[in-house]
Amino acid sequence: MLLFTPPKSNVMMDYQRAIVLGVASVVVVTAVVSGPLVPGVTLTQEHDVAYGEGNATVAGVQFPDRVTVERASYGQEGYYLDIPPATVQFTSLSGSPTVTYRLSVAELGYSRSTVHFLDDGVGKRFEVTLQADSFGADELSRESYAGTLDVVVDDARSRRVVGQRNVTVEVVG
Amino acid sequence: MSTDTVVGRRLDRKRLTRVRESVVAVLFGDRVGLALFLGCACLFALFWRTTILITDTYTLANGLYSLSNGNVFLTEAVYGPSLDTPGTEYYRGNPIARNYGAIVLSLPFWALLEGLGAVVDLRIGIVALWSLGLLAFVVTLGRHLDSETVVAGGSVLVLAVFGLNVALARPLDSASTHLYALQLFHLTVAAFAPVLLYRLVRRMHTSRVGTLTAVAFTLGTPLALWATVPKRHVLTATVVVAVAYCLYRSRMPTDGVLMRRPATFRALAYALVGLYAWVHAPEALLLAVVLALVDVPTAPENSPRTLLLVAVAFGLSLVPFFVTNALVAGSPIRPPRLLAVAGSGGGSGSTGTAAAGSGSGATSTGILTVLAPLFTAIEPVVEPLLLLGGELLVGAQAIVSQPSELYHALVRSGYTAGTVDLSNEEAVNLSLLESAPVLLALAGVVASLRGRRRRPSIPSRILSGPRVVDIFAILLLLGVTLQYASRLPIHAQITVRYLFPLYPLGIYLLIRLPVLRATLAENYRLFAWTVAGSIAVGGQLVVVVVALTTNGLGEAFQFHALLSLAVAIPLGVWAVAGSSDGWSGRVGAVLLGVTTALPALFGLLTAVEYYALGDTHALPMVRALGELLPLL
Repeated sequence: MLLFTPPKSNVMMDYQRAIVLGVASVVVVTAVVSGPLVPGVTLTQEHDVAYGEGNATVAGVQFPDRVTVERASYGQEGYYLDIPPATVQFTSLSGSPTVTYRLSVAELGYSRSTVHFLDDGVGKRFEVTLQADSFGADELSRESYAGTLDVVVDDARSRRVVGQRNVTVEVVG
Repeated sequence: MSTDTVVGRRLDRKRLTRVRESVVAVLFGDRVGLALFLGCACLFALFWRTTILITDTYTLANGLYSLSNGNVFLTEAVYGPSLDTPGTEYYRGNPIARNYGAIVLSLPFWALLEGLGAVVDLRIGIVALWSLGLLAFVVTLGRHLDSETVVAGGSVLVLAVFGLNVALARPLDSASTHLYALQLFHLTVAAFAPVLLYRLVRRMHTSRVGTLTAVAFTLGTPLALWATVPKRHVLTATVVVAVAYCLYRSRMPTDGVLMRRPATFRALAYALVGLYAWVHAPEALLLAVVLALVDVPTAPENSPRTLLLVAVAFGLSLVPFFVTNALVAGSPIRPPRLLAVAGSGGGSGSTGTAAAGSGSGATSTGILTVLAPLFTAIEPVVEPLLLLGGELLVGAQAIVSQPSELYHALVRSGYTAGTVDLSNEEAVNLSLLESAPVLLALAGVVASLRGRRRRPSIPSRILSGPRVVDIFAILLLLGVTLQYASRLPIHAQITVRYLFPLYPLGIYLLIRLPVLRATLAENYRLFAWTVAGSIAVGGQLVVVVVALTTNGLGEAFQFHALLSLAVAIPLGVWAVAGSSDGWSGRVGAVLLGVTTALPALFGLLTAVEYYALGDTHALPMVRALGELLPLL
């Protein structure tokens, strides 16, 4: 089979071969350099930041007006809690503090929070979100509940509530 | 330098080329098969998360840990909270792992990873392996298409992707190599499933039809989602396709480099089943029964010599299984998992098994007591067969008494006791059709039967290769469904993984329908562009809809389920109408393309978002994508 292949474009073949071999060598050499055979080189760096350090001064927090519990769709039963994000306005921010966004509904004995880890990439305005949660079909009996939203900052100084708002949690659908 | 050495070197190179070509021919069939293998392996790696998805895997990982230290029994819980994880059995107080075949065959992968870890940073090593695989894929594809652009451009792209991955790389825990080895072993075996399906269909029809079948199987079913999960399902799928392939070759004149006689392929089919018993005996038993039922009555010859060859091959392939049983359970014929069915009622299931499991045990032991004196001598053979018969019977009873349960497992999952997760909140277990909507094209069988006139003559006993494989596929499909019918639907399935062999078998039967085959072959470009467009453009739409309209996992999963059904229904209607001509064929190709793309999309979103498992993706770029895209 190979004997009958015309010796077409040997130059092209060589150039292709060079590219393929070149890429393969770069991959292999990089891998070897990363390993213990070449000490002192680390290509994998752990995102190793001590959170809860640094400083954050908060000018204010804008909370959403309305928190809803919506009936699930697409054939899933029960309800999903849908909490719009809040916006935290910083006057100064340094280091790596954490910001916690929290909802508590005393009547249901319920509370849920999501912690956000801040680092250098965060600007003066930061949107905090709260992860959705589900409720069983029989867990909610009323049309609305009184709840509290708050935002907690944890930095080198202290752990403190920087904003709070009472909201009505409406059951929709 | 003398001319002798130059000639010698040239001869060496020629021999080397021939060896390489033979290896490719034996393992992958041809260059397309090799490209499919490399492409699938690289694709599956995108779904790889270096942690545990299903708690059963703890048992396997601890099993491999113990075995790598020279112990067949479980010694310590290096993975997971304790040794009491699903699937662990006890023999005289010693904890036993499960799926020993998978554990033993993962040992070389563990050694490879340990070796890799000794010379390179493990994360970079995995990224490098993946990049080299992708490079090999690009080169193979470029050579096949005879395109320099593909080779050169692809190589540069591989380099860029490698750079991106290295830039994003974080360390990988080098202590968990046993788990990674299991995942890598399953990934490798899974990548052979589309290759074997391609080889089978290529021999029956054309290379193009074979490639399209492999694509439909890889993207249109949850194969990629399960490829890196150390559960037996992808192994089962590969073995089933391999057995079908061998069965086909056993009916055809041989033309390969390794096997000279069709009967050798027949022996190989049984040997594969025997080897699979080492992984999961109850399923291997079903496979053996179906294979024998289809093979022996339809074979061109059943001379004592051939039957002896088959029996010897089957016997030899069972040796590792017997040896393992003798070591861990004190008797060669007592696989721990088969015992579990008879004893505690724990089936081949995972976390907890429905009560019906114990029903099967009780039924067969009942029959056994009555007939015991007759069977004492042949009990080792009869007992498992009776167990299997009992299981199938219970399955059939379940279908008759609770058809709605099977409906939830096969057609529409929704929110039912069986389809929700363990905390009974989220409906995260899709049905078979929701997981692979392309399978509704099987409705085209109606059109095929309609077009066929009733044959007056009795068909010959000796059947052709395609006919034998068709019957094997249909019987096995029914057998697997019956074997698990009483337990479904059940949690921790995601995509009815117990019925996993139904995916390759369904795709195979689908391509055997003349209208479907003609539609795909004649409109293959349209089909390919629809698949690509549905994933690239449709995928973004799906992401937007999920982000805007769903709040949780159950809703998102059920959205995917309804989307699948919404496209499957027109496909089914089209298939029943049954025409591949003109615009009808083009409509069919588009519907097949969309239904093929949807499971790939669901799989990708599941791996990247829904079950990101703490962003433990093996490839840094996939992890970064998941972090960029907070969906739920």
